[in-house]
This record gives sequence, C-alpha cells and structure tokens, in this order.
Amino acid sequence: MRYLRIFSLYFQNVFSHRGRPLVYVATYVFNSVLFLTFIQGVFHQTNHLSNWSLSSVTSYYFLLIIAAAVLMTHPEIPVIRDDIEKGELAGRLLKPFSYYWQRFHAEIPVRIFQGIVGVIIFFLLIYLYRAQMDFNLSFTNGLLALVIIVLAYFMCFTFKMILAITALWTTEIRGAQELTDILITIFAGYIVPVNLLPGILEKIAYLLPFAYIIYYPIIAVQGKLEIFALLSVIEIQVLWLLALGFGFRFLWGKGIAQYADFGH
Amino acid sequence: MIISVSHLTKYYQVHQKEPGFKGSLKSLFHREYYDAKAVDDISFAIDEGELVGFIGPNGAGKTTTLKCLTGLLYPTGGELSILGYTPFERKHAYLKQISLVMGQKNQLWWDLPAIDSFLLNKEIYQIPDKQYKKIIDELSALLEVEEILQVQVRKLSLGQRMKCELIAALIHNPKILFLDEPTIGLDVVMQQKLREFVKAYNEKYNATIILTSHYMKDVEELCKRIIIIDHGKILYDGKLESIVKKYAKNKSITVVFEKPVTIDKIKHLGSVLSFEPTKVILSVRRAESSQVAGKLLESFPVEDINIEEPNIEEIIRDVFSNRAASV
Repeated sequence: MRYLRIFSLYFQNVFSHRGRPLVYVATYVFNSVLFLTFIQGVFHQTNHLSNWSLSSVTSYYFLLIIAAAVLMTHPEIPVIRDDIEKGELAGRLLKPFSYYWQRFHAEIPVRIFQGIVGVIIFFLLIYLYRAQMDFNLSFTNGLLALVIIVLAYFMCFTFKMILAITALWTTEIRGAQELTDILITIFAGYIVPVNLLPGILEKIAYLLPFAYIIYYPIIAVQGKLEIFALLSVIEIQVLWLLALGFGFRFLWGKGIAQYADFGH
Repeated sequence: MIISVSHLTKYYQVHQKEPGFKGSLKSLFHREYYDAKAVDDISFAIDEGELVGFIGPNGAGKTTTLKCLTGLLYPTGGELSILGYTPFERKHAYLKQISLVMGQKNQLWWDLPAIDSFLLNKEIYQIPDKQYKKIIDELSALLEVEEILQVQVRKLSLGQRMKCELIAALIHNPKILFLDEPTIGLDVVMQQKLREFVKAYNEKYNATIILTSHYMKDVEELCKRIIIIDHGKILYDGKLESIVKKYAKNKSITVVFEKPVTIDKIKHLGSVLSFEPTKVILSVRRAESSQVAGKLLESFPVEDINIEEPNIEEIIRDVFSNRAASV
C-alpha cells in the first residue's frame, strides 16, 4: 500500500506537467509515421518483406508509438539535470528510500500517462489509415508477452540509470546521451524491425540490449513469436537485467563515493 | 554524546589548469590535480538537545562538515559517530532520525501544494496517520502556515516556502536537525520568525540542532555554543559568551557629559574612538574598565555612562583576521 500511495502522489505530479509527456508522444508519432511512410514505399514494389506484410508492418509502427511511450524510459533527464547538475541529489540521498526506487516511482507514472495517450493515438491512426491490424496472440503467448514488456521496462530503466549516474564523474554527458539515442534508434527497431536491418547491423542488434526493450516486446504482442522463442527472449532479458542490475549497483557505489557537492 | 567527530578530514581533488590555449591543450592529455583541504583534522562532540552554531566565512568548510555529518560525503579521514551510526553508510534507521535543511535547495514539488510533498515524506518515512496529523497541526500552527498548505508551491513567497521546507524536513520528528543557512535570502521579519521557530522546536522536542549561518543574529539569538571554522580548521569551540572574554581584550565606554569637555583631559584614560564636546566613546582594557568609569564619574559632569562589550560580529571578524594574518 505504501508503494501504491507513493506512486499515486507521483502521478499527481505528472498531471501538473501534462504538456511535457504529450510533446514526447508527438515525437514518437512523427517518427513512426515517417518510417512507416518509407516502408510503405517499399511495399509498392513487393507484397512481403522477409516475414512482414504491409498490415503487420503497419501494426508494428503503430505499436512502436505505444512501446516508445511506455518502455523507453528517460530517468536520465531529471537525474542529470536536477539531481546532479542542480545538486538536488543531496536531498534524495538523505531519504530512507533507495534512490533507484525513488526515481522508479517518479518515472512510472509518466510512462503510464504517455502509454494512455499512445493507445488513444494508436486507435486514431488505425482509423485514419483504415489499417488492418495483424495480431495473432493466444492467452499463453499474451501472458509471456506481458512478462517481456515488464522485463523490457526494467531493462530500459536500469540502463538509463547507469547512463545517468556516469554524470557523477563527468557531470556533462550530453554527448553520451546523444550517442545512446542514435544506437537505440538503429538497434531497438525504430527505423525498421530489427530482422530487416542489413546483415551486420542485424547481428549487432541481437548482441545489444536495445532490441529486447522495443523490438521483441512489439513482435511478442503481435504474436510473431512462438512460445519457445518467447521463453528464449525472456531468458536473455533476465540475463541482461542481472548484468545491468549488478552494473548499476557497482557504479552507484563507486559514483556516490566520488560525488562531491562542493558547498552550495 | 549524540555526535562525536574525531580528526575529521575531507580533501577534494581539484583540477588545476595552466592558463591559455597551451594549458587547455595540455590538459586534454594530462591533468594535474591538487588536494583542496575543505576540512582539516577537526574534532568535536555535541550532546543531545544542544543548539550549536557553526560559523565561518565562505569556503571555510562548514557545509562540507555538515555534509560529512549527514552522510552525503565520504570523509577522507577521521571518525564520525552520530547516534551510534557511521553517517556515510546512510542506513535507513539513521536517515529516519536526522534531517538537513539547506536554505538554497528545496525538496518540495514545485507545481503541487506543499501538503502533497508532506504526504510523500509521510509515506517515505512511514509515519502513522495519527502522528502525521499531530505534527502537521503543531508545526503549521507554530509557523503560521495553516492557510497556505493547499497552495501550489510555485505561488508561495520565499519565506512561506522556507517555512514549508522546514515542515517537510521535520515531519519525521528528527532527533538531529542540520540547518545550513536557513535564513538566507529572507527579509528581517521572516528571519526573526524562523529563529523563533527553531528555538521553540529545540525546546519542545529536545532536538539537537546544528546551524550554519552568515547572519550573526541567527547565531547570537539561538546558540549558546559556537564552533568557528576557517580554512577547514576549528578556531574556536565553546560558549558564545566565553568568546567575548577570550578574544575581546577591550570594552567600550560611552559617556555623555552635561557640559562640553576637551579631548586633552580624556585621552589619557583610553583610546578615543569618537569625540564630540559632550559625548565620547573610549576603548579601554577590559580589566581597567570599571576603574576608568570611576575616574570619569569622579572628574567630569557625567549625564550618562555606558560600558559595552564589543559586538560578536566584530570579535569574530577579529578572530578570522588574526587567523588570516597568521597563515
């Protein structure tokens, strides 16, 4: 109940900044629609691209809006801007509540709010495009897809927290942030579904965590993965999550020892 | 002892760059660092319920000491024990018993009423409903903010915000309160109200309070004991009133005469700080002040006479300047 009450209070704070999440969702919409437009051009020449049809690829890009809104967390922005640069970290460190979970509780209402907006836009786009959605999801597959979504959320959140706390050493990490954004755009499946990436890029994508944050949750929801494949994705996600979790703990311990907020 | 600090040191590594383009180029490949001694081997102990003033100029090491005490900074050396805990381990049981208020930082949600931030702290500190209600009622009455608890924080004045910050920091009824320049930027009326509150809080809850401030008035009105720190070292640790005896060698005597007198007849009694034919201010050695006052009363038509200690601010300025001269 305590966590629920904390979550509810953070949710109220999100309502007071409702403009900001809407702008973010708008960027996801424009990106998805733009990439969909390009791929629709390709489908003028062919009916199938690998295992994708026009309807399945359209549903992929529409689902991408929701996935980006919900799963692509951005705790690094307030961590770097408010906590490290402005020095608000001091106040947070003195709370008897772990910093990771403070930031988690602050982030999740934003994701839910954006997710709701994303779902509304998803149905709006289906109507506007007169699109046929291609879903093939059984109950078991649906449950496993849900597990994949939850693990993807934690993976992304922990990865971004690691990125954020590198600012404890350097303060300025905008370059690293931009580089990460580019890598995510390419390898998470924003431009095209990962299995449509050219040769070497596709291989790299499977070695990085980003596909397990966006691409796999989407195709799991679309019903494109059999149970064995779903379990295999979950297994890799768990391994990534463990690695990221240990990475965060290690870096947090080192970084916070380094943290020196000189006077005011 | 509720707070025990032994040989605390905190050094920061500071990057030193040679001036000019060549220096910038060099620093790309090789950076030189030096150790800035923010706190340099200080020791002190504080009892439960004490209200101690931590005084020092900018960069003296006050805030660094406070941050080491709260557990925000890892000390370079020395030992710290607060309520039996090692602060930088930041155990939740320890954090539930302390609070830090920094005058220039805030923890309240900007776009929500202060009461929502209080509720968040209530959940974080796991305060029972009954206790929460009682403390909110008490503190908001003491600080006279009952009317503004539902107002968006961004709409509050600086003083009102500071009061709400204090409530947010005190909701869990901390045993130790660290106040880092709590009155900074406030007008004199609000400063006074905050001082009254801190005093009342200390008396009512027997809380141990460590206060840093640039305003001597804060320290004079609140603290019986002061610790003066400069260049990371403690220059003085003791009663506020004792600093006067220790460092103020002279007292000032202000005399108003019934008839005009000449300076020649006065100047042998002490150092003349100011002279008008009917009023003189003399600085005399503290041991001789009563004797000089007697002579003045005997030899001159005195209408009024006043013997005063120099003000604390001057004494502390002297302490710092003596230290600066000796460095």
